[in-house]
Amino acid sequence: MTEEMVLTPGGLRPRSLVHKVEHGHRISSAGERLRTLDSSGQVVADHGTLITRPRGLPLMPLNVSHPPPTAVPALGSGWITFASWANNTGTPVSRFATSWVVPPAPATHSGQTIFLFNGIQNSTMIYQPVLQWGSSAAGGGAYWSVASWYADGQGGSAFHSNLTQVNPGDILTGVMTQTGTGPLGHSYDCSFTGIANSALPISDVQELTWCVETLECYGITKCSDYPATNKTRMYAIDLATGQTNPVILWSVSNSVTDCGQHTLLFDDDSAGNGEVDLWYSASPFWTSGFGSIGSGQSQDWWFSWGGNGDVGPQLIQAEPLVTSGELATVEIAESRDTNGNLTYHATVHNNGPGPVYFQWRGGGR
Amino acid sequence: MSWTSGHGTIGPGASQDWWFTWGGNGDVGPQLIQAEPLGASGELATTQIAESLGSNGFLTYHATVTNNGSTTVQFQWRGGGF
Repeated sequence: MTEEMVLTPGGLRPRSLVHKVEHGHRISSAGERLRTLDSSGQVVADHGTLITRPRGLPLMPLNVSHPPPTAVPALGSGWITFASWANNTGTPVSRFATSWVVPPAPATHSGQTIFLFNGIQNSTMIYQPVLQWGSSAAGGGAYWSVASWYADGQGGSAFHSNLTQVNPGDILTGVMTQTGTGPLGHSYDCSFTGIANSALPISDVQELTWCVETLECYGITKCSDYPATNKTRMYAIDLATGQTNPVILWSVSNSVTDCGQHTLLFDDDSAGNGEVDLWYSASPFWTSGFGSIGSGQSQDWWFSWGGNGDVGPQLIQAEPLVTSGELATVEIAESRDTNGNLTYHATVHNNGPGPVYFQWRGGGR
Repeated sequence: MSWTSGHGTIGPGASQDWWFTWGGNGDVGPQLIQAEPLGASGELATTQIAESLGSNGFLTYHATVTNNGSTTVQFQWRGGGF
């Protein structure tokens, strides 16, 4: 008889591989076995061998298990859009916190499940405080709820804390902290600030190195199955390695764009004011190109589109992605070549006292 | 979405810097910001539009207006985004 498959962050897996971790218990992977330990370190349950994967690549989204579509048309599933940063500083991540507001409910209900989280992973497991709409192996329904998860990819185990219902407009702060390092590995804690029994401590694990801000979905059949808002701001990002806040430059991956979903960077700060925006639909303006500009400098950038290049009058503006002085767009121009192709041009000037990392935004009508 | 904001007076040959803020994290996308004369005037030029990200994660917009005409001008700001 085929075992029932259930949904978790990371996709489908057999129900027998999903375990709730009671308050006060923790997961240990000492000796490459996954065990639940009680507060005194005694083994409560042995979940078998930890399936280690080759180092060098993050577990997700390469190991998402996509369920077969249950409705037609089915839109994309899995990791829809995300921002990631790999810690190559040589010092383990000691804290990774993010705040976000629980979005409005989706306008339509198609049995979809939506996961929103900040997370940190290695090649084998992912650790994540997860906001969930819909049902998963932890429970839930047509409402928002939160739990901490520690999960493998396809065919592997997944562990979760207690699931707690939350409401649209609630402000969540998902926090992961390194609590220790020993000969058997690293220890971490994960919870939602102020939400009882949301903690899921782990110990004796391989260092967690890839940090992500992610929108993950299953069972989406139409764009109105996404939350009834244009985006969720993942803000107040506080990311530390040891005692310092490193310079971070997020990378964006837009894996599913059937409703215009995408991630936009807003602030690369790592000391409590960072922000990454996860969009459920197309933004009303375009973004293009990243650059750095020193204090007092000007740069000329050119923008081109398909066809004869003409997209009408365009507002083009440089947006700073780090704390800055004034970053002024001092000129916007159009130029037509002898072949009749139109090219747009803008000049940015950094009036501030320090170098600035920036992107271009713009639009027309 | 277009908007108007703020009234000012500027003398001939003078420049003024104005700042514009919105709620939340201050981000309302790229914004066209332009000074509009409210009386007879020479050229009232918006010479610069800038964005500035504060250490608190708040985005502020900034514009500079220069009165290229020969008389003092009352004006207001108009703008819009997408």
